[in-house]
Amino acid sequence: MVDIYWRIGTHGDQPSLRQRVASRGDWSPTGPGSIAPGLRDGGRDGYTYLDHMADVARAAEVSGFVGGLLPSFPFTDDPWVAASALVRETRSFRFMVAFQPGFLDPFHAARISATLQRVSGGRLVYNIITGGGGPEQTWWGDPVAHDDRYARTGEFLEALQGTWGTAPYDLAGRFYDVRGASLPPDLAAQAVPEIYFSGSSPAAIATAGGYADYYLSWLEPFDALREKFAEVRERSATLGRRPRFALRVEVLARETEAEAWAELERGWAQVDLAAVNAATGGDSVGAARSRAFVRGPVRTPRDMEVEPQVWGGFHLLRGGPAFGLVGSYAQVAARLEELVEIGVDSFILAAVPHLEEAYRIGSEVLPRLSVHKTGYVGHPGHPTSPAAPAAPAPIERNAS
Amino acid sequence: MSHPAPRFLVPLATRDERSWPGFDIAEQRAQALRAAELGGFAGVVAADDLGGDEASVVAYDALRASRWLEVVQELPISRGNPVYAAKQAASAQRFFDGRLGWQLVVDEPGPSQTTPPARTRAERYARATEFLTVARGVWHDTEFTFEGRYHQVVGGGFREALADLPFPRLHLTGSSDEALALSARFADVHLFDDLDTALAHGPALRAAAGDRPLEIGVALRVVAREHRPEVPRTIDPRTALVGTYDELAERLAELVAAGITTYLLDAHPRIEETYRIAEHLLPRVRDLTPAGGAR
Repeated sequence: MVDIYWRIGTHGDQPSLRQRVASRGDWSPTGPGSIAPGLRDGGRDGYTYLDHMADVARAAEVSGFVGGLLPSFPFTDDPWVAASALVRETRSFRFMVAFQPGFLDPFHAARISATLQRVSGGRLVYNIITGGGGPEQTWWGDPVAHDDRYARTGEFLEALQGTWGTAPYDLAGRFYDVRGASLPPDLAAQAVPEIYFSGSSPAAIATAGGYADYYLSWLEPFDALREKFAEVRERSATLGRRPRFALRVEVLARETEAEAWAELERGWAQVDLAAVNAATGGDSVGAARSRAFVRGPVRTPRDMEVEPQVWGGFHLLRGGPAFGLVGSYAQVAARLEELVEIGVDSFILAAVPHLEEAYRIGSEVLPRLSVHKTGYVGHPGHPTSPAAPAAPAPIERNAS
Repeated sequence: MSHPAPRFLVPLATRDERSWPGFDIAEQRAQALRAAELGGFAGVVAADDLGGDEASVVAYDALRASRWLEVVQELPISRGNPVYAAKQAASAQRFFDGRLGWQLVVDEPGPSQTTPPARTRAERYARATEFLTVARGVWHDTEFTFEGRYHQVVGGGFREALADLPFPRLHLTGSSDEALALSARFADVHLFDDLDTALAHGPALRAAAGDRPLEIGVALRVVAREHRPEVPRTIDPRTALVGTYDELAERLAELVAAGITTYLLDAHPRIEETYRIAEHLLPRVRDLTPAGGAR
């Protein structure tokens, strides 16, 4: 069985891939048709983007997703704020919070996390990002040099787990100075969240191996993934570990394959083909990864289909990674099953618009997966349920 | 001399105070929060309590569950990065109509800190100055660069939907020279621990802030009763307001006239006493402070 997550965007959403306009949230001017905030009687209606995020979380929860990833970038809203505000509006849904060790010290991160575990009944999951260095890192006020980043991540995770108890914990580290830190018993009793670890380089594996529950990657052509997984397995084996893999996959699924490609065609009209062929279209990371696999000149969407159903042009139609699966419900489900055979243990799926597509993928694709574990399990620790026991049950770690 | 209308805040519980079977502490907070909201209080404070729940989780949940309350989050600056703290605050201001406040925890050794650690009071206040300089810098500029001992930023600054938001109303505490100097420069509200200190230091601190409006506040326990025989006699009057509704209203009106305009009122049990203060004490204060009324 695999855990299947959805994504809750932290930078607005488009109503479709047909036009690259984010009318959900306030990253575009609020006008007729805007949602959260919208217009009412000539002024803003008082709703905020968080209200739309709440709708996406509820849609994904009822549709069978176990939780949602909340990404974090300089231009986005913050995942901790959203997760802390929304846990009590959902029942079993897990919030996967993306963050970098440079943002908080490990003891403070443990206190925040344990409190969120306590009030949510154990529904916090980490997406630990080490950060790539460069201008984005100095933007965040994080001066740690690139080569030290994984060392810092390792020290952070060691200290976070060390402080997560009632016994005083000390660490005279390179990055953190911890003396006699501990959690009160009610917080120490909470489970440490599962860790989805971004990064799978040798340095990442050496650091994360003892802590990561999953290595999280973006979808790429399947052979590239096979190669990456094999390398991680080999390197982990020398450290005596067996890695697990999670994959972030964009999906565009319709009743028939023709309908799915027709949907892409409608958005294709706005794509600057000259820029695509000069490899500068879309955001730079997505464009670079895409061009590493797309052969020959690009004229139609299918020119970016690097293997059946694997399309490398999503970055041209919305912000984010390049690769995703395009096809009929049955085709997309079959390819996801294939990815499980390659070694994927958990998915983070996403599609634009996130709200409506959560319902669609939940009702049309998830039921076609033999490996799908349903999201709603009637969590006994739900804090607002009158029947809930006083001590919330932790989420199962390393569930298979 | 006229003063702003007084603002009344109450703390939120960070530890289980009632042991309700089948309900956890979040439910206690939710009910106390509604009492403060319906009772017309100006705000609530989520304390940094190492023996209890963490303040940011408490604060964001409280903001989501209220419409009017300012939610003041106590922020331990030793344990975080000012850019990230400001970024979280920007989302909170967007989501909750600008109702987030900050109260910095500056002068404590703390069980953990990012390096380099600040071991003396002078170092801690130097770090606080850097923290606020950076937090305000990325908030208001789009090309912010800062090279300090504790914090460094290159090319920082919030853009698009994260720009042009109200900075969290800044509460600072303490009575040391360093604390008062930091407040004179940065604070919107300086919250003292007891009345004598507030009355002794408040006027000079407001003068030191110059043209910048700086409110003086005090944290107090409150025991208010309708009739004199109901009032307990065993409580220290320097850190507590103890008396009948009429007595306390008169005392508060005097304090407002003396320039103390923010009150963090701690009364137990929280929910019931919040209702009591809202119904009996605040209306009397409002009648006695013509400046615009209590809220």
